[in-house]
Order: sequence, then structure tokens, then C-alpha cells
Amino acid sequence: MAFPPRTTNGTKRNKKRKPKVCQFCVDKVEHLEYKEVEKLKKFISERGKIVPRRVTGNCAKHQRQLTEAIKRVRYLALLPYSAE
Amino acid sequence: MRQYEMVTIFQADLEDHKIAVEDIEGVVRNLGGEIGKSSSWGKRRFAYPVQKQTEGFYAVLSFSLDPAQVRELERLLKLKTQVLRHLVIALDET
Repeated sequence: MAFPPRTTNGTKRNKKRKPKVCQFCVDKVEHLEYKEVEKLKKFISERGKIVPRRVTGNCAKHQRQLTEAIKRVRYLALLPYSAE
Repeated sequence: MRQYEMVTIFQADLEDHKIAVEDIEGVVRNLGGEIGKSSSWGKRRFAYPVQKQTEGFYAVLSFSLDPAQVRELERLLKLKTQVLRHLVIALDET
């Protein structure tokens, strides 16, 4: 009686996605610095948006620090608020 | 007294940025602050125009200051035309 889980278009989704690990936890970052602009750049999309946690796999703690850091750097005009 | 860090963006076309930075340090000292480390990132291109300019000179300054004086410091910085933008951050000891 048990059916495998199906998505709306009928394809089977039996492959479990590998959970991502927070890159900052791996590097044992205690406090994220807003000054490291190059590091922050990896976590914004082409349009300048902050990439969500579900995509990057960051942990909640580091995502909070990351958003704070990005917003500070945006104010300093080193990262865009929005990009074409 | 509390530890602060401040990023100041100066106009890029100033003749001498050292004088501009020393001027800001003087402002902090006049308010009873103690200057710690001072460094500059040099000229950087903006991600978007700030006051119709495309680049600026960045300087970072750490200092300790009475929290009540921070507003006054911000007011004085706003009056300076060579300062395009500033960001004061309180450093907590953690």
C-alpha cells in the first residue's frame, strides 16, 4: 500500500539531498567581519540579493552575522543594494 | 567609555587624505575620546553613486568614547563636506 513520494509532475523523488554544512562553522569563524568584502561577495546573488540559508546551507547563527555584515557593507557602498 | 570603530568615506579627489584623517582624529579627541588603531583602505570604487561620486577614500579608526558623545560626533561628521559617509560601530567585548 505504501507509495513512493511523488512530486506534482509525477517524477519520483527518491534521492535524498545531502545536507549542506555551514561554511563558516567549518572554518570556525567566531565573528564575521564586515570588512572582508570578498568573502561576503560569495553570498549575494547576481542581482545583489542576499542568498537564503536554504541555498547556501549556512547555520542560523552565521546567517544572522552574514546579513548584518552585508547590510553594513552596502551602506559603505562596497556592495550594491540592487544590481541590474 | 566604550570601544567603537568607525569607517569614514572621504571624497576621492582630496589632495591629502592624511590631513583629513588627522582632522577626524582631532574631532574624536576633542570629545574626550582615545584613539586606538587607525588604518586606511585607500581609494575604492563605489557599488552605486554616493553624492554623485563614483569613488571614495576609506579610512577605519578605532577609538573609545563616552556613549553620550557619539551623537555629537555624528553631527560634526555630517557637517564636514569632505566626508561622504561614516559608519560608527560599537565593539562589544565578546
